[in-house]
Amino acid sequence: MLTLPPFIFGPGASEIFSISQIAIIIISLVLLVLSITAYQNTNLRKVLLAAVIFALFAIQHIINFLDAVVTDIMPDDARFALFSSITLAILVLFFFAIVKK
Amino acid sequence: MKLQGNTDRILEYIVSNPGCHLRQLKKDLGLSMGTVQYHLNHLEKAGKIISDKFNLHRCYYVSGLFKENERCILRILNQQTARQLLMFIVERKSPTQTDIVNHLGITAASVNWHVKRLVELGIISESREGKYRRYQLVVEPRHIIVILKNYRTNLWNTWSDRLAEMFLSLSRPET
Repeated sequence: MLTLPPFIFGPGASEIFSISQIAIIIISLVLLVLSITAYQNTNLRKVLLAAVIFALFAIQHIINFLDAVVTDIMPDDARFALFSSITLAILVLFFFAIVKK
Repeated sequence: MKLQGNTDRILEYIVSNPGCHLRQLKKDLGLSMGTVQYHLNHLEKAGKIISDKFNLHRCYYVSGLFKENERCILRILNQQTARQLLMFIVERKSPTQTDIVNHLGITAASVNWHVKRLVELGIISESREGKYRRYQLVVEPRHIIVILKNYRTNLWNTWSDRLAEMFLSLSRPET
């Protein structure tokens, strides 16, 4: 069931938010597919990590966009917790990719 | 186990990029020159790949897949200027040397050097028309297009390779 978005955007901010979120989602999905292609070509685990990172990034922003603009899919506190957890996971994966031989 | 992995990676790369050379393998796979040489020797001795020398480079192919003239075309398609020149001849059918110079934006001497190699390899022929020299394909254009389509990497694969290289460069390359 559709409900009102939780935020009240100022003039013009809603459009900027929507356009930038959609651009982020599209670019991260393109990077996800590119990294999957790269993994298929190289079979390197580190490239698979890149695919996971881009997938998490895309999921994070899809949830953010849907929740803010389309429908309130989860309470704000849960969304904030999920958002920061995914950001942490992305950073940990990046760190892991750098330090792991 | 790791050695086997590198052998497989090199073999897979040669399957996807027939006519590739040592430095290209080293750069694209992020391996040391010695490692690549070791695995190439191993693969060649095992009869899985063959090689031939072309100008300064030794080019590698999977055994039994390509005829001599196809190997010549692949070697050309692996070099940017020579590839552009060949594709221009495919497109224009019978261009003059001046047309090629104008199109590629390189000197007449360079064009001369490239066309001489293509003529020697039997891929194109030269004819004189007054004071102009014209160049035509000896092989079927369709044949070149098929090889180009099947064995040259497309833009998407080039991008995915760059992404892999960028990600791998975050940490020390495995040797």
